[in-house]
Amino acid sequence: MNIKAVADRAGVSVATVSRVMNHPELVTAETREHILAVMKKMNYTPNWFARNIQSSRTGMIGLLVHDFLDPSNMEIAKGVESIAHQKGYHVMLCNTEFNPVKEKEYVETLIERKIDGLILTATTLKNSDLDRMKKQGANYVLVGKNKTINRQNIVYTDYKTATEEAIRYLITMGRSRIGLVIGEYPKPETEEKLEGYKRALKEGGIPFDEALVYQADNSIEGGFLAASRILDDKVPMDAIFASTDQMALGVMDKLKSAGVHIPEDIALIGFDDLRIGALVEPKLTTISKPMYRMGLMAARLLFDIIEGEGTEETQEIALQSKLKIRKSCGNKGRLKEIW
Amino acid sequence: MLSVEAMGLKLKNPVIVSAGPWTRGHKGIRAALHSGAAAVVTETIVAEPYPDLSPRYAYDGRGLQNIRMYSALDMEEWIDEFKQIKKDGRDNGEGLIIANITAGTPSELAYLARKFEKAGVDALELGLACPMGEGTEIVAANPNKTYAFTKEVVSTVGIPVMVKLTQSMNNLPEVVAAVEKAGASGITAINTMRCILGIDVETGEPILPTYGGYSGSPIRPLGLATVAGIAQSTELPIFGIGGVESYKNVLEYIMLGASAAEVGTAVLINGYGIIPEMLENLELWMKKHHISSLEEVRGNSLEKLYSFEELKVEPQRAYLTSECLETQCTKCLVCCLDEAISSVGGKIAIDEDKCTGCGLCRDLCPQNKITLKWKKL
Repeated sequence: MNIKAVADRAGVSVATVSRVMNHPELVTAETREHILAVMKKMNYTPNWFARNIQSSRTGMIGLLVHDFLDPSNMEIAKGVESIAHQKGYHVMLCNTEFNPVKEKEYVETLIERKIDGLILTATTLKNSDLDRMKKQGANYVLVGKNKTINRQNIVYTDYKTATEEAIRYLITMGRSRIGLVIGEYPKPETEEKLEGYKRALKEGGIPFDEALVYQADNSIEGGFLAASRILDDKVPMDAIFASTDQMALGVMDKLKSAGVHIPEDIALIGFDDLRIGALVEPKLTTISKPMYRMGLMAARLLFDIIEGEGTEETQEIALQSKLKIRKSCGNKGRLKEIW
Repeated sequence: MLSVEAMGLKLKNPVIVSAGPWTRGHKGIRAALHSGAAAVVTETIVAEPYPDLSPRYAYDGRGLQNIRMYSALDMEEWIDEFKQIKKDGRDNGEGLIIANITAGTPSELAYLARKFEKAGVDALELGLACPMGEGTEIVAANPNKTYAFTKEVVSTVGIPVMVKLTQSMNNLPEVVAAVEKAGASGITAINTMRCILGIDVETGEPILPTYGGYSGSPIRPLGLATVAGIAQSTELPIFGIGGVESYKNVLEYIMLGASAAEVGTAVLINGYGIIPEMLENLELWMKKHHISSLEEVRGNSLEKLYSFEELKVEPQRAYLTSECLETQCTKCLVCCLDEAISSVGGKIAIDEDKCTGCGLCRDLCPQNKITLKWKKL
């Protein structure tokens, strides 16, 4: 007798029975009582050890992120954990720092330890690495697109289109000297944002000017330093697109302390929709990217594969990002978000 | 007698309970099927649920504003709910279950579609016209996007796919063509309308703190017009929705070309008791008119609709059907722009030479004493 028999008899999913055993507080009293009654009737006692041997599963999945402290990764992790928890799995979190050696090391170790699946965010691995993983029988899902990798189970947002929308919005707000403060990593994401920036300028009939592009460390400090350089260089700008909210907040800090008015002198737009962006003054216009949902969907795809419910073909799921118009680009007349 | 066929599915009658919080979970679904409805549409399921706000409804006695953002249950919980229904068996063997799903991109929507097809639902309804949430764009207002979303779902699943549209677009034929080209099996119209129910002028506070969806009888005329427009643009089965409260409203939608009607707000306000009442009255009406199948009346009113240019000026005038000695009521006197109605010695009189036959006094008379007739020559 196994958990599946209990689930079938109780008319619920295996996950629900598993929840009753592992996290009964998450199950409604009614369902819990029902399942416990069925278990009792069937004389079922979970054999924790045998359970894992039978299924040859360890009940663990790995989540690889480039930086624990990046708020986007925290949201992804939360989404992944929420699904894993429902399925009765635990999540092992690994920090790769965009270091291919470190990332490969983690992947190898986790596979050796018979982990049930892997979620790789902003991966630095190549097609050949992924092929090897496949041969080793590893289940995995990618988060975030990478031009060099194709035909994988992946969840992503389209940074190019999102950036294009933001720049187009600045142009419709009458801005034409639009600076770009952009990080170096993750490379594919950065490249897409740069491409979107160029494409929107071209569409708006504004020539691309290298002098308006500032590379910076993806952090508040990085944004602050980039803005300092911009002011020192005396490059005329009437808008800045920072490729992450963290950098945008640094830019805002510097501009404000230098007496530059946002949005009157310079409009500012970020990317990510960090909570703090809605609390600063002026409230930051930004692009919200559904990181929590990415975590949810990546975990769902992974468990589809682990539980043999996946499709033959690889699945690519795009998630929508949205321009959130607040106060840092003008729009005085509008209240809070755009309607 | 009441049964209809649409999208290759047999509906035992033309009444479907629409997507809404009343169809949450297996309890909501079962309550809807128990009422005798032919099918039930789940409340809108999304990949990342929103918690229920409080308060989330406002009702002014006529229309309802709701600011509820989709189902608070997540996908996994819904799949469990469907398993529960399968396990219990449907109490009503013929009742169908339709999952209403929505998402931000075609691939995300297709993922949900695949999951719920696997969970055993009979059909899918794609919510492409929800008026709530941030942003101003509604997918269903854009034919290309409507096509992309629908196409991706249709090529992913084998069950019938209905697309839910809105009234707030002026390119209805193009959107309908996109839905048809993408291979959908049916169209539902209309969704709730973006609204603000009102403002408390003493405090300046809106009744609810954000835009919501407006539903109930005030939107029925909008739903009827939209269904009439869709019926003239496609052969796909149409599911009319918006302010359905009685068997008459079901018939109105059917007479304008719908195969069946969806009921939502009326269930929320009045309870499921209205469904058996609706079905009973519908059957009585059919017997009275010697109609054996609703197919006999479906779309019949479309022939009686004309474009404005086609309308002829008919010299009709208002006449009293019987003497009116009413002294308190001045409705007809007040509304007549032609000054054709007067009170002479306590009696209402209509001057047929002044009357231009506008018809308003007829509709305003509380005693139904005024009729329009050809002018006596």
